[in-house]
Amino acid sequence: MHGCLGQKFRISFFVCMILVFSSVKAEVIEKKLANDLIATAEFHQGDTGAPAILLLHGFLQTRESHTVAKLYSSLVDAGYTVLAPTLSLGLSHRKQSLACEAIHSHSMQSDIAELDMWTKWLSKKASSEIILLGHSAGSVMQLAYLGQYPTEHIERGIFVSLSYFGVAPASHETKEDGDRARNLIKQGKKGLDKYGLSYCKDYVTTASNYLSYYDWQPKKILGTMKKIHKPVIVIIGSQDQRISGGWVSSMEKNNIRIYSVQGAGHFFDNEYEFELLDAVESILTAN
Amino acid sequence: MGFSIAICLLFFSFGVLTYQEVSSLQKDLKSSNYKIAEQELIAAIVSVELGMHERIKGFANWEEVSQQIRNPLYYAYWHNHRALQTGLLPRDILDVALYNKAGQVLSKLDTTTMPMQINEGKVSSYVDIVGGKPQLVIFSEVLDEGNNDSVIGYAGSRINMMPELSSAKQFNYLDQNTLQVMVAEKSNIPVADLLDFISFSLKPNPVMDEIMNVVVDMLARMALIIGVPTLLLYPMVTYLIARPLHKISNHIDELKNNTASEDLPDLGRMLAVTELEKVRSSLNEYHIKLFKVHSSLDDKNKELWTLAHHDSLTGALNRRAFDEHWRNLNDIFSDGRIEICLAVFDVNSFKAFNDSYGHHIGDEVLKGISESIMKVLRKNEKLYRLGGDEFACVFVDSTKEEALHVAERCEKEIAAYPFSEHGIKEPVRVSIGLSHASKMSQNELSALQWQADFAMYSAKKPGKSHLAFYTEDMRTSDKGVFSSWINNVVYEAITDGTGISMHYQPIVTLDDQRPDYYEALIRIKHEDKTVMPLDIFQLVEARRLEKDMDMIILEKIYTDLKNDVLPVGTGVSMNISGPSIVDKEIVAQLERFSQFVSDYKIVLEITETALITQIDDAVDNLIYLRKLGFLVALDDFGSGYSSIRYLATMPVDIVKFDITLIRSLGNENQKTIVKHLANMISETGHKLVAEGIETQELLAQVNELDFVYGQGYLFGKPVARPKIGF
Repeated sequence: MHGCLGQKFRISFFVCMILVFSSVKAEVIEKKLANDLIATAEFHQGDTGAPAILLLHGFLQTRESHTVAKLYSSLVDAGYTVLAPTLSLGLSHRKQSLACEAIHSHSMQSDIAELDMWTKWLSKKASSEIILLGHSAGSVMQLAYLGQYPTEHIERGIFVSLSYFGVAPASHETKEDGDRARNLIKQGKKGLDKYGLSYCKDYVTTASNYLSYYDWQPKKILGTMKKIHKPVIVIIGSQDQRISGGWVSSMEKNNIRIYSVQGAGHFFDNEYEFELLDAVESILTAN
Repeated sequence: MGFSIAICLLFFSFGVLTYQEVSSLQKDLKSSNYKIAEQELIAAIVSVELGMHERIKGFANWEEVSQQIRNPLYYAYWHNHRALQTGLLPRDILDVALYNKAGQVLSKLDTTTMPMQINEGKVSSYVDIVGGKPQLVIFSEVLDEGNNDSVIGYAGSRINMMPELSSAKQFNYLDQNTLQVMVAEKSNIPVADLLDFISFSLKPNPVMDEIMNVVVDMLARMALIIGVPTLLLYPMVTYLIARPLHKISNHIDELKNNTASEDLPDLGRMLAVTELEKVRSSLNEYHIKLFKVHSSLDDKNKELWTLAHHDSLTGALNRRAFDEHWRNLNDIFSDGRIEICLAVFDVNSFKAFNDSYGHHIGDEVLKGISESIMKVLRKNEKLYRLGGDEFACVFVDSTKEEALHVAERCEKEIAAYPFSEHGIKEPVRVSIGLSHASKMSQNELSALQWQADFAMYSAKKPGKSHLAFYTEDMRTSDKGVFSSWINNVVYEAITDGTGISMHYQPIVTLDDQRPDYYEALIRIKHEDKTVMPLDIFQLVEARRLEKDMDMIILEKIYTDLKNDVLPVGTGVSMNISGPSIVDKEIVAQLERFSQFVSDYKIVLEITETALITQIDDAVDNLIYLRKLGFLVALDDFGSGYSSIRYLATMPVDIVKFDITLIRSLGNENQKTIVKHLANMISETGHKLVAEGIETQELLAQVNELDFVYGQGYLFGKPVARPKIGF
């Protein structure tokens, strides 16, 4: 399905919404994690009856990343209840995207555990079910969360620029990295090492932590999608360089709903941010 | 040379002074700049510390720092691979360390240079000097991300300060490249004290350097402009001016020492400067001319001396030479050990020769006598013509006998002289008076002249030898021509006026026999004696003291007129000698009498002889005095030649007939002559005075003639103060 209809109308709508709700203030929610770190999230209580959305940033990013911040503000403006956490990634009160070269003590498990904590918190705050809205690897994490945690309170998922780990375009992880990590685990070595992962050339982490991300390759993603029994829709930019051309078709073959924005890249920057906002709005309002 | 040295010294002093001033200015400026540089360095250190603190603070705010403090599991890896690679720390970071809240380092790494423990809550920066390089050890608190008031740990770093200091941009005076730490190792230095351990140099001051360069360049140029020409000028000036001038100076000295010769000293080759060569030539010419003038002057002087000291008629030395010689004798022979004789020669009856044969024959007589005496005189004995027919000769270191012998020879030689060749029939004889002083004293020497005179007049006496030596007998005898006391009295009177008084004899108008004016007649009183004019003037004329005597007399008359001795409306007649009437001082003295001409008739009596002797000068003076109101009377008319021609041309108002003419009126023949003479003179406008009227008979005869005035005892004798109203 291609969301090209009523484009001009939707853009005008969002502009008007921004003008109307620009004075709405966000609330930062802090939550203490098991390891005593403080995780934060920005929360906006939306209109009564409107769906609650948990908006998650991409790999090593924060909720302040451009694409996510735009989505957050537009959703807030549209009256949705939105919770946009910043995964701690092992850092308390993390505000900045974590450098590739930093010591990555986090893993997919720690990430989705935080996500679980936030969905539950949001679930308590919102009266409606939760819609997961993720960008890039954030979508992978949300998908992994859906695949591993009880998610009755989750209505569906909208995954923007859903990517994958393993060997991918513009990614540095290699099969050798994966094999090395597995060998290290077999050898019982838990030390830090450098790997290629996503856009990080030197990603410093332990082997198990590395594999927690590395293993989320297309096959595992597609399989999880099938397993979760939750409606998901994927918004893809036709010019997304982080995914291979076969990825979209693979999803389509697996009956994954695809909302393609022509000309947009992985981050829907420039004029395509409005396209993305319209797409999300149209998806949210479709059902 | 001195000028060159002075110029060089002046320039050198100026140069040194200028250089010192600029150096001092440079020193002051450098000192000031050094202080500014220190401030710059302090500011740079503070700036570096603040900058580093900001950097470490930024580092401490890094989330990964908090992550490490909270979970230091991988601290060693993070420290070694992450912390130092991050761009949050300065590029000159040497080490970094994280500390927990208690100040303990998160992990004791083997390679760390950071302290293991820091004071909790009291972290301050300090400097370690390691290997001569300052290392800033700086700390910052790591705050809780959610609560900035809560410290969860500390971040510390060690930074190499020198590159930071060197790259500081605030150095305008300090040269960063010269920054140097003065100690090799030192720990825990407070940042504020770091300045004490750092040395540095100032940046070059281009303005000051340029000024110094300009000054040095200026001095060098001045040295070149002033010094070199001065040094070059010195040899040139020496060669062209100084050396020639020195030569000319020496030449002048030689000329000075060579005044007796016309030969010029040799100056060598020509001088380099034309003008100086001209000076030398001019000096030579001047020297030659000067020498000639000098020689000429010598000749003229000798001639003048000869003229001044010789009698042109006889060739003998004159009175002036005698006086000088006499003064020299006083000086030379004052010790009195030498005998001296004075001989005075006087021609007997010389006036008769003049009257009988004329003056030119008289002159021949004098020449013959002079020639005869000089023929006899020995070497060093000189003949002096004292005046008229009087000669003198001084015999120095001669005995009486020797002098007498010479005098006798002179007498004989004169007697042998052929005066007859000049038509003289009578024998020409001289009277010789000699005086002698064996042990001279000043007084004896002065007496020698009048003693010789005395002897000479004694020798003139009839029946006596014409050669006489002065003796004391002559002095005590009253029969001498001049007694010694008369001599002394007259001399004293002339010297200071002692004893002189004026007597006035009336000259009356014959019509009423009332005094018209008075003739002033001198008297010299000595004790109870009175010297009369006849004796006085004989001596005065013999001694040529006429002028001195007239000056005294005029002064006395002037005083009497002032004191109203004479009745107003009358007058006074003053006898003026021949030498006096041509003398300027006497004329000047007479001018004073012009103030009396309104009240008195002032008459000057001049003898006929006086007028004839120097008639031109005398006539001029008389004309002048007549214009002042004086009358001129010709005295003793008829006693001499009585030239009528002279009388006609002379400025004479009154003619006084000599007493001999008046007394001859008893003789009819002579009376006739006198009568016609008086008549003739009277008709020419002259008023006549008859002298010597002592009787009524003589008065009666005078009255028959054309006399206007009369004088004589009949009318009155000379008195000191005539009575008014006669």
